[in-house]
Amino acid sequence: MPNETLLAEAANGQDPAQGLRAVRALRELAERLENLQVTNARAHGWSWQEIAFFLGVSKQAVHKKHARRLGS
Amino acid sequence: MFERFDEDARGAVVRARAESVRTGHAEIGTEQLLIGLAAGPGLAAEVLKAAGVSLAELRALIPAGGSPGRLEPLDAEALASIGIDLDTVSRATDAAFGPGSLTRTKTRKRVRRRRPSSPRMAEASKAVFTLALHAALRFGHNHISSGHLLLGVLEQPASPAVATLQAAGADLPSLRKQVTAEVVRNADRGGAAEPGP
Repeated sequence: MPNETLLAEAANGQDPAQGLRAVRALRELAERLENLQVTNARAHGWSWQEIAFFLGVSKQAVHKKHARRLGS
Repeated sequence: MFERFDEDARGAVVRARAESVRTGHAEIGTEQLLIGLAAGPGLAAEVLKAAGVSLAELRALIPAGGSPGRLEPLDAEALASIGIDLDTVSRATDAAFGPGSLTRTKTRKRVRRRRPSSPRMAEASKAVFTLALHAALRFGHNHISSGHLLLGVLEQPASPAVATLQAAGADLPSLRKQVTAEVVRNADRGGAAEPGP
């Protein structure tokens, strides 16, 4: 994987394009993991308050972001 | 049009609207009307329940509307560049939440309109109201109940609502017979003969 090695150097180095691309991908990945985990927590009967505590955000923030998607 | 609707029929329309908003549809389609009816109370909900059609099943069969969020493939290469192996992450989420869970989950764009416009009534739904009105007039009823609305839905054979009912395993001719019987019986009892407030 010479391409990836090259990219690794670029991302950790000076090329803004590659570095920003990595940040974007990481953010998207984090969003998806959050969706899965919040869905799972709700399925386990967790309150928004509890989920918010572990995510380190306000109850309102987590509710606003996920309530509609989960239909509750 | 709505002045002849009884309380249950009005409730069904209100619930249909809420369903469209909840599932991100810009229109209130016949399938949302069906949900509004099935979510009851009312004659239509009773008939559907008796026919073994559950609200949860119907909801599961109706695809969510518009703005589905981004579902771009994750940028594995970019993640690898900062030391994150997407395959490892996928294996973990597959094990915990089922195969493909990471690719299936949708993320929403942060930028949203402040006030999403209220869903419009779809043309097919307006046609359902007309068909319901005709059904009521045919029986000599001066009101439109949830049962008449369900009849209107069933009289549109090509509608998404009917397709949903079929997918849910409903026997359409027998369903139609049941609703008709209940609508007639209900009117004879004098129940819900008065239009809502």
